[in-house]
Amino acid sequence: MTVLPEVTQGGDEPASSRVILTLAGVAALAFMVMFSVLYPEQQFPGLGDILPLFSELGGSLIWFFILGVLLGVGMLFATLLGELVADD
Amino acid sequence: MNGIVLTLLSFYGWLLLVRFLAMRGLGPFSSFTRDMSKFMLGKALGPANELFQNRPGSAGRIWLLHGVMWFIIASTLTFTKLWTAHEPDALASLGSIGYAPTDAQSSAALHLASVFGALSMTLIGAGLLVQSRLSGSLASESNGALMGWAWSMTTFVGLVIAHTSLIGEVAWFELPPVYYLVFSLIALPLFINHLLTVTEDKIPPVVPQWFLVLGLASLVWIGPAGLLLLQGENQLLAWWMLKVVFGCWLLATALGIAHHVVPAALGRPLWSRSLSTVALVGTFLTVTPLGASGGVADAGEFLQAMVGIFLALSLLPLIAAVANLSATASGGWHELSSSHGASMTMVGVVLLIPVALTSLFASVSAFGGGNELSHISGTLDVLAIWASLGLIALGGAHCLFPHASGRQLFSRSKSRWTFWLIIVGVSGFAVGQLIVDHVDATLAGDGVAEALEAAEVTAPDLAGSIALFAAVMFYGVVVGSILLMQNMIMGIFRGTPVGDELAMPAGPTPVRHTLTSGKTSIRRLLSDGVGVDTDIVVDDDDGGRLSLADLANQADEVDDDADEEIDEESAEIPDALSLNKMRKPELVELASSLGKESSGTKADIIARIVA
Repeated sequence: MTVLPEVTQGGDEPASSRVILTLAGVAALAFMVMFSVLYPEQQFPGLGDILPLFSELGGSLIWFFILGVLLGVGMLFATLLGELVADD
Repeated sequence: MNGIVLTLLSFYGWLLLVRFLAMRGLGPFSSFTRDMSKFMLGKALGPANELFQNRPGSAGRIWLLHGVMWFIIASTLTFTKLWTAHEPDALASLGSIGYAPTDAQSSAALHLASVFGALSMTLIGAGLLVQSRLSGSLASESNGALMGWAWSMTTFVGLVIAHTSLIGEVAWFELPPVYYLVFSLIALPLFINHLLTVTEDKIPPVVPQWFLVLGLASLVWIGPAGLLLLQGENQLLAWWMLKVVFGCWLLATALGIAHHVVPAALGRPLWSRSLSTVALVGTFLTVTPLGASGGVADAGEFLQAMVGIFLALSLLPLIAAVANLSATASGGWHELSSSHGASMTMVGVVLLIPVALTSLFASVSAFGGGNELSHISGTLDVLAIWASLGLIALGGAHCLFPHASGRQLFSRSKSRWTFWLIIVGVSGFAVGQLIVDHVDATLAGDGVAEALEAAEVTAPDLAGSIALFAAVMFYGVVVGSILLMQNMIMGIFRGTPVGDELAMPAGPTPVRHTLTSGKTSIRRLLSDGVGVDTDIVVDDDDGGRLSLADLANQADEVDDDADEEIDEESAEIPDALSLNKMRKPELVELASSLGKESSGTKADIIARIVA
């Protein structure tokens, strides 16, 4: 009879998407903590503060979220177009 | 007072007429009216009706896709509204391109997009699919699809009007009253479609069908009733219309869908017939507390007392529905958790109780009282829309869309993300926004500002930070809606084809089913969750018992034979031309079934199969 050791090493790995999401979450949290410590009196920089192209949008953080919505909607259209012209 | 009596009489008279028509028809005129209605739904529309195919599920598909699209728009509008409440100038830069809505305009747009766009379209789409599954087929799929486009276009036009000076001050009905008549006119063919479907079926309608038919009848009533608002401000009528929209239309349709989705997904019969009936009758006979922001400033004591009683009684049908569906789901948590759509629906149903209970206090105080809870009524309405009714609608879309598209949703992972993003988003929003509402109301109280000034104390902007937290949490709903839409679109093209497993109730079947005297049908038995292994007990005078065990064995043998035939057929390899026409997932499946390597390009797989 083969006796297995009490602890064995498995071969599964987490999905890449989860790794990236976790890293992104930790990075965002670390940035917010660092920014709050280094510049306690200042607001977080908005999209217009980071990218000169969007400077007319102002310094509100809402534009990051709206950009996310626009990317999501763009992804929907890209998916639709891609599926319509897909050759399979 | 006389006005509201006439309004109530017209509403309940209309519902009774619908009930009578659905059960009895028009006697000798029935066949004529049925043929005439069919003609009006089909050929009378001319070329417009030819735009859409009259195949099963096409109407539901259009409505659900448009509904989820409006979910994205409405949730984005809600998110920006929540954010700008904290930071009014956040979107000021859009003024340079002409988008600078006032607070009233953005509220009007938000109300329209969420109630008539997102919720109504998704619920109507799910309702059409429920109706066609329970009755076999819808009277006119092409007309349903055409009306879907008409409704969506009308909502879009309304969204434009909401950003103009044409809006009024009636809460939730800010657009000109004539506009809501258009919704009723579009709902009328849908209502006739449902009615025809129900009356053509040989089996009497079941509870979910009654919810859907009476709900649409309520929606049809809204338009003509709203025209009375043209005579001038009428708080009582506006309040009643709001309650009809939230209770008799949105809530009733949502409950109808939940009463179908949960048992169908679990493969179990609805636990109690009497509780279903209480939920159905109670929903239409009481006044829902949902829509808590609607109120009447001055009301007589008698009217105030009556409304309070009927508002409180409205908890009974809700408790009956929640208890019935919870009992149906109990013991089937594994099946429930494996279906994200059914889970979403169940969470929405359970959340009805806390939302309705809190809304009850706000509604009672808003009707002729001091309106002491007005500061949380807006939040309660958002929760009613997104937490309860929204979850039921999206859960229905999850479960029923595969029946319309013929393919499963593309990704279970996306479904899981949708589920959790919406649940966590709505929960976080609720906690944050309710704190903000209470803090703001306290700071705005009598004498608080003077007391703070006298004490030379400045209140910290805690509420502002939490308002931002609430808005960010609500963003989860926006992302969840986008993920659901993507899942549906990809499912249409690449989802696994829906098999026979969706045509019948899945999962465990009841061990024993007792039949009372009278007649029934196999379809009704199946809808009650009966399967081939069920013992059917005939409750007759002799205590006779009919067991289907032998029949079940025969059925198993027939299934085995059929499986063998299928195996023999699947062993035949199609020719190269047929293989080229197949989709890649089908080729992968075929290669796997033949024990061959299924990786690589499509040409590689075909070469291996043919070799």
